[in-house]
Amino acid sequence: MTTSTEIPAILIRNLSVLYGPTAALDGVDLTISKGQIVGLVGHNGAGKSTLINAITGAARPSVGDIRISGALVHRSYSGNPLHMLRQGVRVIHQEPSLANVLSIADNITLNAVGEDRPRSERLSIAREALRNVGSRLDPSRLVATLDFGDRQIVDLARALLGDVKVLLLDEPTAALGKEETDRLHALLLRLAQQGKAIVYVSHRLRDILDVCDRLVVLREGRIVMDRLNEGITARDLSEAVSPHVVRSADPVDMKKFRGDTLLKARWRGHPYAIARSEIVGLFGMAGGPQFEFAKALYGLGASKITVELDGRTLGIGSPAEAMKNGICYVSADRERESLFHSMSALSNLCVPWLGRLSQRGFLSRTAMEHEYLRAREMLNIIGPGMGAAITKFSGGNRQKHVLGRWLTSIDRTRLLVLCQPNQGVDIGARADIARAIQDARAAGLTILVVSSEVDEIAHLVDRAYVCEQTPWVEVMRGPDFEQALMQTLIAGVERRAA
Amino acid sequence: MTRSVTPERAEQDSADENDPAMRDLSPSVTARVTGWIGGHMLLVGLVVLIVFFSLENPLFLSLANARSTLRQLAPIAIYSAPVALLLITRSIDLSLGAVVGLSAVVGIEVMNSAGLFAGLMGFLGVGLAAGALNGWLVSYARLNPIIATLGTGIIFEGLSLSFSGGKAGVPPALLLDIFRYEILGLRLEAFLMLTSILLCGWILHRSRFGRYLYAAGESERVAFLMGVNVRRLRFLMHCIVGLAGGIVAIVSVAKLGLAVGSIGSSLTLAVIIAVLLGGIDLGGGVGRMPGVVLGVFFVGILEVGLLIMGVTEFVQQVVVGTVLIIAIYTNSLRRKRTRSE
Amino acid sequence: MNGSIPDSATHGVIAWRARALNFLVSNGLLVALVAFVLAVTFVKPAMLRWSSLEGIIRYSADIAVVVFPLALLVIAGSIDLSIGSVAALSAIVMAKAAVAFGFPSGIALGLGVGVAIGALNGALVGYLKLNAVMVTLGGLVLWKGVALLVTDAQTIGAGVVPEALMDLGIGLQPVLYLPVHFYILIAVYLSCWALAHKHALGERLFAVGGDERAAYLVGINVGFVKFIAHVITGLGASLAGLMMFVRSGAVHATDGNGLEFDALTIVLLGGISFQGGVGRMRGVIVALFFMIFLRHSLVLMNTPLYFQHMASGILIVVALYVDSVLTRSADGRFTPNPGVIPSPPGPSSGFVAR
Repeated sequence: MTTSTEIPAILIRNLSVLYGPTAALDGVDLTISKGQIVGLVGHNGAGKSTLINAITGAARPSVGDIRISGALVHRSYSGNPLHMLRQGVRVIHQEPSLANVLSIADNITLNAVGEDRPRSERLSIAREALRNVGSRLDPSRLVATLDFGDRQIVDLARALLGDVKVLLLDEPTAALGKEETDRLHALLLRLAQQGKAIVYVSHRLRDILDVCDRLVVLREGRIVMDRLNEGITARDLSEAVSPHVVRSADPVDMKKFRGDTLLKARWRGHPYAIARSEIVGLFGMAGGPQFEFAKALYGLGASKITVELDGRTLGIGSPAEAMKNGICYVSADRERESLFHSMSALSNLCVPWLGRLSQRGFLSRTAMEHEYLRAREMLNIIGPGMGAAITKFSGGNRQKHVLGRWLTSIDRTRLLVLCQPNQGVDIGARADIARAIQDARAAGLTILVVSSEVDEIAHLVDRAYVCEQTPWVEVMRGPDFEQALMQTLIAGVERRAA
Repeated sequence: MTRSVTPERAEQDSADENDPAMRDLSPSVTARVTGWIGGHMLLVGLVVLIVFFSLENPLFLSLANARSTLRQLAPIAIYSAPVALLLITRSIDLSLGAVVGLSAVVGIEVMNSAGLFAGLMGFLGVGLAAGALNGWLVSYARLNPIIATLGTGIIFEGLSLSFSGGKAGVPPALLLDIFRYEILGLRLEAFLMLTSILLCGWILHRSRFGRYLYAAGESERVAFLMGVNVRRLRFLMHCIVGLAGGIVAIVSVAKLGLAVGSIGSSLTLAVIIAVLLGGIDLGGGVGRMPGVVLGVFFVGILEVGLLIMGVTEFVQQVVVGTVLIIAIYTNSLRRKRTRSE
Repeated sequence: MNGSIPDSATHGVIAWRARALNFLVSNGLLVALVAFVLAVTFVKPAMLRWSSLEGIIRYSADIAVVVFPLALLVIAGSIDLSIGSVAALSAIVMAKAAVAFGFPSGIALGLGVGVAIGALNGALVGYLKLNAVMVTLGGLVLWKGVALLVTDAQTIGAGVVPEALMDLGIGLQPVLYLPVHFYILIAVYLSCWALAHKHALGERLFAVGGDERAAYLVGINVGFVKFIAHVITGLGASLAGLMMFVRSGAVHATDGNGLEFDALTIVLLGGISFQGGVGRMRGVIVALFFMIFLRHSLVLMNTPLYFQHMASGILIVVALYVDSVLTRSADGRFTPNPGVIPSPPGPSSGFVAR
């Protein structure tokens, strides 16, 4: 891992990327030398993906410039991934960018070495590329038949074909076991020795600390830490990523709130129960089973789930059914699943309750406004008036609207399922949301927080289940709650990989 | 499933209801037959169709009829191959018939005033220009391809009308002779048809462009990240479809002996139905050429069969409309099936 | 919810662009309309005679009964290309049934046809989730074929319509100095406007058209909303058929040819986005007058038939273009062409920023 004084592999100066009014990246300066492995960490929404996109040409910088091996990336070329590919910049996205419809060999050779050659040659090129990353998959298979881990390997094989100067990896180990992770890390070290520059983005601080030479922390689009990986602990890193926020509630006296059992459900053969007025967390890896469970509770699962709610056994097959029984849901994908971009803030808030807010079908303006004002107060919504388009509000305030849908109707909601509620939400809004959740709970609402972010879970819940193993492991809130959660998670990951 | 799954995960997977390993243990004969029929519906439908028509009129199975069916098929086949490629890139062209009409009307003028070769260039040029307009609107102006090409179809129809004044043009005898000339019992249009299908099939299944097409149709975003210039690709495909329209116009005029603006009016739906039945998905990224060939045969035989049966064109319209709806339905069924696998 | 909210907001994709769209559509189009009227009257003063203005109102009403329901349907993210054929078929059924069962029953049955076909479309598109364009395109051909078959391509219905009604239809019996069509026009506009902007169903139409997945996730019955929208449009189509029938006293299977394209052009020009979830009814009424006026002036100025035909196509493309420019994302984000079928949300087709 030599840091040389030659021309750096990547030189980024004063880079800003603006999406409308929001700055996804704000004045970023970053230099990465050849043969260096740089770990990039930060919250969801902190700008990691945007930075990667800017380097690979998938996003256009609004301000600033990027140099690859000294050559300035001309503005007209950004937005042209093919050009960046030819410049030797390769990226492994969290979701492998592969055409599922085509075979492994087709994907590997698309716009790459050997594209024009007959099929047999492409197959052997692909086989060679796969062997390079330690895989023996059959290159004639369709990518659609592969599982996530294998698709990632194909993505990797494709990325390493040809002359590679820079390799960017976005959450490469999210779905990998220990053995596969070690293999990947060994590969990365080998590549670094060959002089390639590597940018490694991950949530898994332990992995970052294992393999990276340098650590860079992004927060709200800015770099807040950039130092060598010497003498730094996971705790320091975690602190830099999400500094302690003033807790809006003291450690909860559970006996004060915890009521009788509200919900009983079975998952993968094991029973779990949630009591009234509890805030329970489901914690696990990104894309883990906790999200499947949450979806199933809202009728979005592959099959109808049967639960016992308030003593009554019922089956939930669709969101409408779930809502009828008082179960409400906030999706992790706010932009695509929660918001109505063409509608006003008022409409976005009131949309689930149109029946209730109308008289004989005709909408009651006063009722709707009343609802909105309540939500605004409860969640401290900041922004233009209720008639403005929802797109005029910041991410955090948009989320407040989504939460406001359910929090203002506590009389109709028994259980609120929140998936990654703090994703893309700024610090101030997080405090408002946490406060509103506590208030709601005090009024009798039960809340399930489902997340892959440990600080989110640790901040909000009374107790949590770590969903990495079956049966889930319960972790009660106490001092060092975050640590306990992470340790349980890591233990679970290691158990599975063993 | 792959073997890189850890033991615990495998356990979890098989606990799920959808374990494919559990499915095909010992299918009964009927299950297997219905399964095959379901997977090869078009082939079965085609056979049923042929049987039906031959029962109605034994002349249906004669060689002469086969020849005339082929002749009827040719324009549809020539057009369907590139249109299939266009649909695979997740675009569409509903101005197909109008392009043929415009190309015919303008081309015949050029041909009658400037000679055969210039005329042929005229036909092709108009088709290409129309395709380029469609391509520009869809790819670069980012308009919805359905409405945009519906609109341009109307525009082309109007242009046709204005250019020809409603009168029919007559092609020179040379053109008609060229298309009557037979090699190995087949006329020029059969060779054009073969070329179109083979060429498009080659592009789709054997060249790197075909892979670009599939990638672009499946996910524009992913294809973009893999370095495929999706916009240019779609634009090119529209141009090629337009060019094919010009060729179809030449063939149709030679066949009909007349050039009128309405010469392609039934083509649009016929081609779309053929392509849809052939397994091309409207959502892009799916479909293979052999299926399209079957689809073309289905539509061609249906047309000829109805003609032989002497049904009025009104009944034909009813049939066309119904078949389109059925084609869409099978299309969506197919999509649901592949998604659940 | 737009009753008292100033134009600066709501139902637009990007704030200032929404404002621009609103202004352009409801005012710009109005301005264009006024300018056009002035220009044409200068060239041909005959335009401003009461008889031609009155004719404009009558023709507007004929198409209005289906344009406003179609606008509702497009807002919900669907479409109906079979309107013309359904109108003709409804009128034919009306004529035939009237002969057998009397005129009022005839009307009822005719309208019933529109409702039934609308329900069929609604079931196929809303519940079976088939592609609306293709299904209704098939319907266009199918119902026209049925109409031709049933009438053997003959004009029918002569003498069926009662004298008095025909007089009303041709405008010989003005009510309060205005043809009855004026009231029909206003009635249809107001009811569709109220439904879209004041009623819960209208809000659901916008939600379903705007973000179908999100609508499903807040418990809206997406299939039903689309179904109802299709039924309303089907009813509108048969009403259009009725009005055509009463106006001319006879019906032919090819009446109403091209009605769907005219209606769609008006809807798009009126600011209703083809993607769904965006638009205001008042833009549609302005676009309606604009189109009818344009048509009339083209006829009055003796423009050749082909140009009138082309005008429709040109207008559709222009309307689409304006719509696309204004709904394009303002940020630098990659905006894929929605293609024939909007791509389903999923990892391979979108890109979740983390």
